[in-house]
Amino acid sequence: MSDGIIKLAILAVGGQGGGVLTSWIEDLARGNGYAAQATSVAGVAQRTGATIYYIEMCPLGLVPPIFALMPAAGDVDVMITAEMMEAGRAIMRGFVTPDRTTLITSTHRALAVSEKTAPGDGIADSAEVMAAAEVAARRVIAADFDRVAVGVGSVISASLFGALAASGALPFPVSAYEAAIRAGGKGAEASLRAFQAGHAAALAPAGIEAKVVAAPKGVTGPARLLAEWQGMVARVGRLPQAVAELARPGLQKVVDFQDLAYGAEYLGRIEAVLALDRADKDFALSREAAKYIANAMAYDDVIRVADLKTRGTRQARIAREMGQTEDKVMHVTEFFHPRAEEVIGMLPARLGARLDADPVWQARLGRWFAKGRRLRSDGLMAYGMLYVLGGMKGRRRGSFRHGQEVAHLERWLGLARGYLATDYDLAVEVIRCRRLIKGYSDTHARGLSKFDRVLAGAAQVAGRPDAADWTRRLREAALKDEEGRALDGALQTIASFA
Amino acid sequence: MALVVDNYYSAATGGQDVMSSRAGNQTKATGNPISKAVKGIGINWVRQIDHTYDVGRMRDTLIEALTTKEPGPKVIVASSECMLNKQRREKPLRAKAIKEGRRVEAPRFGVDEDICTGDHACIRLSGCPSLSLKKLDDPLRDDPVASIDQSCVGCGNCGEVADAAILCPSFYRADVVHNPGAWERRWAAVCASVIGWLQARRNARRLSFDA
Repeated sequence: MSDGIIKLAILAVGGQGGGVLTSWIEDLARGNGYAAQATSVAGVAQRTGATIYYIEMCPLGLVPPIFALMPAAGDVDVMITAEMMEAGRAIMRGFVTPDRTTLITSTHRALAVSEKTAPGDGIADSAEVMAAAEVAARRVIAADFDRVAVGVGSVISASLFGALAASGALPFPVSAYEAAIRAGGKGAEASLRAFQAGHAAALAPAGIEAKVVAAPKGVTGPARLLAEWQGMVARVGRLPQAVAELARPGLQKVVDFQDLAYGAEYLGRIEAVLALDRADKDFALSREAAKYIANAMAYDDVIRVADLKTRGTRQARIAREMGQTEDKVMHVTEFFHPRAEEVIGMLPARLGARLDADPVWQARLGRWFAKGRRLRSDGLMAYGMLYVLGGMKGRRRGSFRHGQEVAHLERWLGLARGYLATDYDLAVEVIRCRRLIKGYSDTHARGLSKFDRVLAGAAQVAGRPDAADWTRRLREAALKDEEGRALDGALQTIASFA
Repeated sequence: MALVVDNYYSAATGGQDVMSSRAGNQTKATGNPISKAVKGIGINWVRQIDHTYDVGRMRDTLIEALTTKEPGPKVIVASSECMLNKQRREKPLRAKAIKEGRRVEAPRFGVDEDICTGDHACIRLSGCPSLSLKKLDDPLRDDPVASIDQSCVGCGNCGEVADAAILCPSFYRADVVHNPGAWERRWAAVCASVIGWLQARRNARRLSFDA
């Protein structure tokens, strides 16, 4: 602040209270003998662009100061960003410089549409922005100020104001900040709570958000089953550590999906893979197999969905999330849209295969069942129906769908085994391709076709030293967009040299 | 084909008359539907849709407009009040009604995270700001799942989309009924006890893992 003017900019998106924060800062300055001016440049639409608020202030003197309307690169003393990627944007725009800028940022994320629409994990890496912030700013104050504020029933603007007070970047005492909030009137009590929480969070040493270690999940049930379960857990314990880490949750997933016998089948598959595995590779193959075989065995069928929807734990979770209490009643409506495929999938294998091959029956079943259905799962009729469907686990193994899933699983594992002798890393990548199969109906079909195309691409590059690397690239391309355009491009690249 | 998106709000920066305004005005003519104006200029194929959140109907109307053999321009007037503004208008009224002890249903949507597979097809089709992603604390899952945050106003578009596009059964709507009547409360208790009995019956025969 060479010219005696303190320059402060705020980047906030809709609903975060950036305007309120700005007016508090203005009031704070004016209430303490400063002249201040605030401007704002609104962002586009509610969540696609941040609004830039800009405040300049200086002690009131004989000559009235001349303030600027917009922040300039390299000329900002305090930068407040109400979201992690906004901090990144502020850095890119040059508002954060190592000679003078105090950067106050919330570390939480409000995801951009482009991050949300990727079929895989399109969420940008906050760690990169954090690293850039450490380099770009003179000082960084970062915490999840959104959680801090929501935790005390308020909005992020108040907790960021608290962080600003804690930073000491402005020459005013904390009490002056609180006075500015009180002067604002409406909702002052909640704002003051968030202000104090934000103040404390800003002063807390970094790294306080240590990862909460998940407590081992409790298991309950009849004694006979519990004893058998303990035996299987002990069997997992005999696997190498790296494999057991994933085999333990994997076992739970498949037992939860079907029964203990199915869990034993799962462990058998893992042990078979392990027998071919190599210790010098840290059992990477078995580790990935433990994860993806569990996902493949616990496929999404009607029985699983009905079972999950009728559980007491789910009911309790919804009631908690929706804030249902004793004196209120809650209705839950489910959105189902079964297709002929789902009905055929539940039939016994032979019958299912016959109907599946018969277009007349396909159309007939579609007419009977395929229709959007809304079921009130808190009502006795709909609940009873879902309960019966969820209880059909006994027939699952004999169903047409199960036969298809098992055949697919075996083909996939066989393919990986085939590569194992010549190219260990390629076998691991083939196992990982299972990630591509997810979703229901059309999405599921698209996932399957991507899976097949990636594996076909893998077959083309097999034998090359960089085959595993190419397969990984193909898989990542397949997760980039829904139609598979990125995958097509990558496959064309492969075709050009393989 | 022309699609008129009518969200009940229009701004006339010059203070001009807004003939289609739904508000009463003593000095200006209001309450004239857009579809009537369209018909007035000689367009025969006009469809008025008053519930645009009915995705299936909206889609079918668009298909009809693009495939019909009828000559001339086609106009669809899609009218539904801007959901955010509607909520802003109704929320205080609702809070007041709850306080006064009247029966009020408050809808909100949710996603079953066990059933969601994280393919984000719903987000590609919906684009709702309340529909976001959540990383699960599950080492078996690679991709974040869909999640609906507190800002959901219960418009139902996500459920409609999931239904119309045959996406997945993860969505549900929860209507919390404030100040339910005595009979309603009693019937809910009966349903809950039957359901509770069925759940206990099933849990007695299998292993349950605390989530």
